[in-house]
Amino acid sequence: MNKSYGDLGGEELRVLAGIRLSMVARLCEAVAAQASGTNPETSSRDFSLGFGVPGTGLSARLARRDGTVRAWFTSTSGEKAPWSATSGFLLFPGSLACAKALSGGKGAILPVPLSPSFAAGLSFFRAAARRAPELLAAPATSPEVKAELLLAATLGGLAAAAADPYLAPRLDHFPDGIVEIACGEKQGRGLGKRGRSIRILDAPAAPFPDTPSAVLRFASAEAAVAVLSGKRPAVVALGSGEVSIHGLLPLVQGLFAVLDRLSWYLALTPGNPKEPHA
Amino acid sequence: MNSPTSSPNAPDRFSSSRSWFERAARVIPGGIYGSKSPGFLVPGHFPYFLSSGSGCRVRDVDGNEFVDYLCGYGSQIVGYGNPRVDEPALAQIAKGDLLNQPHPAMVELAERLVATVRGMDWAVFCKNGTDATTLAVSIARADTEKQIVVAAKGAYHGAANWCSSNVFPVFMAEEQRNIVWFEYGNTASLEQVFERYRGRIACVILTPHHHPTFTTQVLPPEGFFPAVERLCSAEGAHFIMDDIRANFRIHTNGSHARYGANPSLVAMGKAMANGYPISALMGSATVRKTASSFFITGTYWMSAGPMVAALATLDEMERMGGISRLESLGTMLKKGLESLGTEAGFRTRVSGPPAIPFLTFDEDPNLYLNQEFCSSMADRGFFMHPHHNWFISLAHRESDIEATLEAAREVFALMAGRRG
Repeated sequence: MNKSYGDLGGEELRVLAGIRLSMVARLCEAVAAQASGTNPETSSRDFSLGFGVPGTGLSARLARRDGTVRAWFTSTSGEKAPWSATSGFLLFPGSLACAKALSGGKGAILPVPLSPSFAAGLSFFRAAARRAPELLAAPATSPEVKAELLLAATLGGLAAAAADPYLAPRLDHFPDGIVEIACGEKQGRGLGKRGRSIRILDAPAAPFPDTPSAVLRFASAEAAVAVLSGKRPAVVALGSGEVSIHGLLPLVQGLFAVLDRLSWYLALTPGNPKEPHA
Repeated sequence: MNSPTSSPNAPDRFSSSRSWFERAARVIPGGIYGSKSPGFLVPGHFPYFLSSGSGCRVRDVDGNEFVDYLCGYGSQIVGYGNPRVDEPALAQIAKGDLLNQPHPAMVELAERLVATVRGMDWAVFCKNGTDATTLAVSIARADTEKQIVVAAKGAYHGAANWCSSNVFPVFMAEEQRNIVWFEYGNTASLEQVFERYRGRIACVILTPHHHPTFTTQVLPPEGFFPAVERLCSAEGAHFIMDDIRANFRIHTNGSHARYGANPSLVAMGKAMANGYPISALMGSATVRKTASSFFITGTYWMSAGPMVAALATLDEMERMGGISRLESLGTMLKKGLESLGTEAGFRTRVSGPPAIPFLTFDEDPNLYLNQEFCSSMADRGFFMHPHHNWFISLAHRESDIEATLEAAREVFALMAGRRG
């Protein structure tokens, strides 16, 4: 059933805002990680830019230190980002404004600069957020780059979607563990599920400390792009051998349920909603 | 841990299966749904579509043949295409299967089951296990005028909303609201449930042994069923035995007879008609009145062919050696696999009753080794499910088990080599 943002209750709107925030942050991180030529801007000044929706517990951070950009997201009040020094904040007055602004629509944003590096952070964010869809749409972009971007966005979305109360019984029902999500023979990205939370394990360059509970592997970057962009149903790709799953199947099956819910949120249209009263 | 490797056979070994699957996915959600979904096996090593079966062997749409240890998820007990079952069943279907009124075979089958299944006084017939378990729970609720259903965590009692793995909030809020779970075999855990929900419990539904997917099976500990009966009796609740998956593989008189249990309702299905679609709910005299007042119906529930097949299957099981034969074959497989696995350096365990075995590796709860073992066995022509318990049928022969163990020896050695 097609729904718009206006059909959502306050809690769902918060989840949607979290998904958009987490996905955009992860996409910006992934864009920055690509080889030169795809990098959104040339400045290398360090920054730490925070994003937040006051009163919701939603916050994200994009930070660059020594040339490396990292993204961080939480939907839980009180958690601290690993790199906490802030250049400043981009604050959204509510979940709806956040969801709209980060899905390409018009939404109010309040910039709060705290140091001169804010300009570098804002410049990076604008360039990366613009560059990501360009890269994904460009025929010249390699499937490997597209797969990296889509995977980053999907993982970001999964981590945020897990906060949806709708998923709570599903999350209770499937086992905890770490899933390695890999493309071809490359080292995969990790997703950890514990209780009702899902976290991205940021160790792409190093081997996993423990054997993952399960491995979901795309046979190729092309397969990953087809599935992660929604052009190829995952179940068909699985049957055709373009995707394989090994290890603790119930864990991966459970994540598919979260992925379904993520797709539901991403299919929502901004419509003509009003910010609900809390 | 190693992931299953590519098949040593031709890369297009399952090309027809995949082609059918692509077609299926266009018009059927998920292509193949539920427990038959390719993802439940190890894609690339197992067929998706089968075309025929004979005895203990199945053949896929690409022409690959497998010695089958899944037996149609347990429904095959005297072998695919057994003429002693098929001939009378098909003859009845040709004469008339689904008629306006029941065929006398329904009475004969009910009489036969009542005479066979220990402690049961009546029988009604339906099609699937879910029909029978759902009816059992409904009758228990109506009889006790209470709502709570107690079940073991991880148990499978069917695909209805009250018990399925479709854990959607909309079902949680209603159909699953009154289902309470406890640890199978743990009397203390069950006592806590009875204490907490005293006066509200309609029934406890259990399988004769615990056979969850993705893990080892658990036999009922000594004293467990007497404790269930004691608690049910004090509460005025019913004890339902869901014998759908195990019936006629553990004891001729119902699996509860093997374990000395005394349920008031028993759900049966799968093996009772060797694959013909029929299930049954049986009950003790104490629940007969409520069952009589229940509106029990389904369009196909009284079709005669499966009833004739069930009668023939009961005869054929005995003729082919019955429980002792199944146990002998199952024990041969169990001991062989455990011994070969241990020799190769693995902590192998074959759990469950001999005729319903399942292999796991104690060192690998994530089932990588199961997947590696079963996919390598499938590459060699043996259909052993990596995540679901297996079944022995009376159509298996010692030579089939020997061939299986010979292949397993090779596979364990291969796995040990990969592990270094």
